[in-house]
Amino acid sequence: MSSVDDFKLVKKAQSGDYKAFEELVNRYESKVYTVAYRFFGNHEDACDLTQEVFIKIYKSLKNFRGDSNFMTWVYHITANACRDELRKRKNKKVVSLDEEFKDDITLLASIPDSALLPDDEIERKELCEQVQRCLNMMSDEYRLILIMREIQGLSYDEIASTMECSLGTVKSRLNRARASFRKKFSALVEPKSNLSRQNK
Amino acid sequence: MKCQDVCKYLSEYIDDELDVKIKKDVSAHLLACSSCRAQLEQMKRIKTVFLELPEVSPPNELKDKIMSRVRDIQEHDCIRDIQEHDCKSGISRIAAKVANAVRTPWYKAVTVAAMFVMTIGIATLWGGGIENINIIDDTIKRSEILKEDTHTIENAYDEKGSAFSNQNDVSTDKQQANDKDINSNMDVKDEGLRVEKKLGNTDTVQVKSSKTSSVSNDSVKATNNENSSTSNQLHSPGLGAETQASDNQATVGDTPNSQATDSAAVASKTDSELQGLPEYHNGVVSSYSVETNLLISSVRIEITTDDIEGDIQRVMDIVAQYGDLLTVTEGTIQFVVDKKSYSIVLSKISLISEEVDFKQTHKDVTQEYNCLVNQLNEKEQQRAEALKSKDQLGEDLKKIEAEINELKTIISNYQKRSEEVEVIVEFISLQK
Repeated sequence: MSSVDDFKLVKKAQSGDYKAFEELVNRYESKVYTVAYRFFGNHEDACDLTQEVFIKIYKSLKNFRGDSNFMTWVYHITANACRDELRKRKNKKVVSLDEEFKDDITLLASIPDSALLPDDEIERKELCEQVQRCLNMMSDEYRLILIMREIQGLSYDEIASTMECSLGTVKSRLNRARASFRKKFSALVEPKSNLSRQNK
Repeated sequence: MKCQDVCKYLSEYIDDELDVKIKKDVSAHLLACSSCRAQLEQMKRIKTVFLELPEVSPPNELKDKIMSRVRDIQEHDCIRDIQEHDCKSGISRIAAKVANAVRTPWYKAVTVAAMFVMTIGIATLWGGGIENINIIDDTIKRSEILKEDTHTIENAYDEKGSAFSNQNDVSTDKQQANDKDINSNMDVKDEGLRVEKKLGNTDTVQVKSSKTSSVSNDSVKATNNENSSTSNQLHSPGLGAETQASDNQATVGDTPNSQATDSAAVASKTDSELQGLPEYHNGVVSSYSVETNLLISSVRIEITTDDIEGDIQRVMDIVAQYGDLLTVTEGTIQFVVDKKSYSIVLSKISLISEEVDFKQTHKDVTQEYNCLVNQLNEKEQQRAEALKSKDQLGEDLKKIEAEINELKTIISNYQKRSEEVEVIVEFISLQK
């Protein structure tokens, strides 16, 4: 069934074909999970959100007319699910990610150069944690657009379709998101980076 | 171009999304401006940082969880569709189904339906109480009686008074909770099916296995005098006075004759039988009990379609989910399905195409089965006697035991077949 294109699978799934839907889950589970994981920063929430996304997909599959690409439709539902979930949490006043970040700022590691050092694995892990922290500090829209572009590799058009906005909005929002991320990332890594340089 | 303008384009510049002219201007500015060049370098580095992130993989069980929830929704939707469909047209719907099943014009089926209603009315007057016409209530009472007597598993939907409480169905608490609505809905559907079959003057469809099912079906079967004669073969003694009394009150729309037979049928269930335990025959424990109503059912389904390939796949998916495939030939699929899942399989298949015809046949094997059980009981007594008498140990005992084993195999086979329905699905192409 792997050779069958998404559209045919969707058609089959729309007529109640369980296996076709299972194949669609096979194809997109990892993508949805990655977005959810990068958005929330933990596996538990990513698992819950992935389940919710596929249930939403299943329930609204009949409404999918094929005007857009199935992949972008999946991302669109995923993005909406992420926003909704975050909105619910904000209403419930969960732990502030910024506050968490402020406490941890002194523990952050330095930014690595392109040539990795012997203990590069540790640094790489720390770097990934920093990237995730920076993502967590961003607004929903900036975080989503960065995930879609930088991690999922979607084109500008695909992002426009996923986020339901114009190409111009994608360009300007992505530029601002990158600039914002760059500032946060620099703020995190520079002090430590300077410190390591002084030690040397 | 100023630094402020260049900053707006940096993102598109690194993604190579700029127009040729703007790109040229930005490049020229970057050559001259070290500050903007530094920003660009940082942005590029961040892009590579994202690429450094390891891939995250979902846990293996996540897909199963998703598909399990999807299956639950699918079943709920399926049942809801049927209920909505059934609710739309009431008795005319029943008549249409009967007409479809027996391949008669709809107006004939309406006549049969009207006759059924009249029969119920007359039987009510004869039986002396409006409560007697309530088939569902009657079966509820029976299952409640059984539940009290047997102290078996209390399923959630038993509390609702399901006529088809399946006492053999043991599942986890979570599963039970999930299945609660489905099963209770299915019960309603099954009730409908039984009434429909009665309308069509065809054999009763045994949608449910287990002893509870056979007892509750007596209520429908009792109006059919031909069938009620099979109940006379019961011989087991004894039943608590409470059960017997309740049963007499609960008999539905019976004629006086069938009422008596029906009472006997239920009365003949011993406590041990109700608990699913073997009976005692002259001090020998019997492996099997006689049955009141053992049917081997099969259904032939004709699907007229313009998408044979797609519909075959859909049926195969249903088989994969609920049944065991026997054979697949050109345009025909043969499989067996547990009676427990029969109702849902039928409903799912009926949704595949607009034109789906069902033809059900049932073979009453109660007599053959009971005959075999009686033979087995005799053989087991002979074996017990042979064991007591040391002289007969040896060849005779071996022979008896071989016969017992052979009988048990045949009886088990009957039981197995009575718990399943053989389904033959035939596809007829509209394009031919």
